[in-house]
Amino acid sequence: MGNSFYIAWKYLQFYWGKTLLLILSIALVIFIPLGLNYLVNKGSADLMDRAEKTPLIVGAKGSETELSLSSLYFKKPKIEALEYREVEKLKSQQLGKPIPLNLEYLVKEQPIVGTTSDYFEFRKLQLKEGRRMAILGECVMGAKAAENLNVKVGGSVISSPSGAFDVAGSFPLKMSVVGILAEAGTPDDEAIFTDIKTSWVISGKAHGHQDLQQIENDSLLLDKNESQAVASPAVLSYTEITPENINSFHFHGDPSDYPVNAIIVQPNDRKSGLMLRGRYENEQDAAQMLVPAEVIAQLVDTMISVRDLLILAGVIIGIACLAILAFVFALSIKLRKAELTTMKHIGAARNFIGSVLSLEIGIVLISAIIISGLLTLLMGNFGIPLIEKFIS
Amino acid sequence: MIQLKEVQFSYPGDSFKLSIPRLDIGRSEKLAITGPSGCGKTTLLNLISGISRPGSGRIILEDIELSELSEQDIKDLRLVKMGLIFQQFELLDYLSVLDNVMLPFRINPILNLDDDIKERAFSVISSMGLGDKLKRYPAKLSQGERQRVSVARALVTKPEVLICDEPTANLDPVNRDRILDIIDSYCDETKTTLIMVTHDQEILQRFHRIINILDYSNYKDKNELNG
Repeated sequence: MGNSFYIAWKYLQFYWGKTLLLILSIALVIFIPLGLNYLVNKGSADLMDRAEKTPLIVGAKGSETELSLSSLYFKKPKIEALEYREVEKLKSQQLGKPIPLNLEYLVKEQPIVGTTSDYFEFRKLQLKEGRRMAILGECVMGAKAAENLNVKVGGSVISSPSGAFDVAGSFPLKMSVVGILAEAGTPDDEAIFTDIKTSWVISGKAHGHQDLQQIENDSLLLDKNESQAVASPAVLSYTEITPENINSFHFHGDPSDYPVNAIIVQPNDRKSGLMLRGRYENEQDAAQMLVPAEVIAQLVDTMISVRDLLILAGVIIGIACLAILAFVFALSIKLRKAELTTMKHIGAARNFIGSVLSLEIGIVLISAIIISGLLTLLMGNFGIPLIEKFIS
Repeated sequence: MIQLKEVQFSYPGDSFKLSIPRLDIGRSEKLAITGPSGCGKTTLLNLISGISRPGSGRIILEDIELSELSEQDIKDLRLVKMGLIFQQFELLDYLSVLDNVMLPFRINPILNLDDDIKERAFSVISSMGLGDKLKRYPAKLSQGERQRVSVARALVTKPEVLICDEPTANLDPVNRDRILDIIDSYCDETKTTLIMVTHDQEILQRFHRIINILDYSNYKDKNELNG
């Protein structure tokens, strides 16, 4: 066996280019169905895990999938926002704890999640350093978001404007980083959490500026009398909330009208959950309540159907490739007839030539299986975030 | 040492026939086999070495009758008692000089591969003037060097019979003489029997006896009939 292996190894080593090509070809043929199966299974399990840990979601009527994925993975929603009074209504019903989510804004590519401290308890998120946000203008970074933006506690991040030509849209707000979360292995790692009111400041629903009554430069005022002063567009709003200017920040209009993209609801118990669902089903208003696990399960079913089709195609291609490889091996043996005859003539033992050829094939196959296994593991590590990104 | 008695051989579907009523080859004899191409010289070597089996008759090597042995036993016998040198060298491209020479010890457990063998292989290779090319592959060697590796592979097992099939046919006169000198001196020193097929008239004086294969085959009759 040792000598057969030695000869087989020497052959494969000498013709390393051909060997490598064979190994990689076979590895790919094995990997495509295997990796796809692993990827979809692991991706489905991760998707279902987060969905199952989120009991109920309330959002505007529209695509259930869109609402679920947006709430679970913090993607900018493509459905309309609700009004904050929906949160107040849920609170008043006392059937569960509503956690608002405002998901409109980003810092570069990291989503800003406007919410309340209840979200941290709900997801069991632990602080690695610092503290939770306490006042307007503070934020807590997810572990990967902090890493990606290279910020630490005591630093700051600036929200990205929604569009250069969107004059009515958000404006950049500099937020102080007061805490960084421990890595959770979930989309929470990528997010920047701030109080929902801070997210309203970003949206322009609230702002702070100089006290108009104190302004002496008349060019900054359109009108001024004893009871009120009307500012001109020349009066600049503050782009950072500091202890010095925090008192100047104020909300225009009724906060109940302010936007909320989704509301996670933690029902008090199963019965409360059923009652809440019943109420939303009977309502004719703009809101819907859904169970994310049911929505994601449908999505996973679709993924599994697609996976099965792809695996079937992969297996058919694999069989064809293996037939070609068998032909290549057979042809190679034929081309090596002179070499094999020499060994036979010199006095090779019974089965020696067979064992050399078998070992060559075995080494190639085992290497291919190991490589396809490694590719599958890599796929597990890097493919799942890709699949989540793709889906959401 | 080697006896062929009433040996008949023919290839299936071919009118060629080799017929050897009696051929005795003595220990340490140097025998040259000559004759035109296709007349059966290599066939005779194959019969003596057990690579081919005769249709009838007996081939005896030191009281061992080859026809009574299994194919594997003949291979074992060939490996232990015979050294084969081929016209086309028949080296394995993917093995180094050292590995090619040690090949007989790797392909059959009847020969033990140990440290002594490695030393012996090194010594044989060095005696061929290739001591500095142990790790080279055949493609990087000249024709003469390749044939010397082939000779080293045949000699490393210390064979009692050296069977050579036109080993110098592809070599220039300098390399031819060098190879033949190596073979000659080995056979003289170890009393090894040498059986060599050759076309080369210039080297025939090195042999004790020369046989013309035409005396044993129907090649001439066949060609005369065809002509």
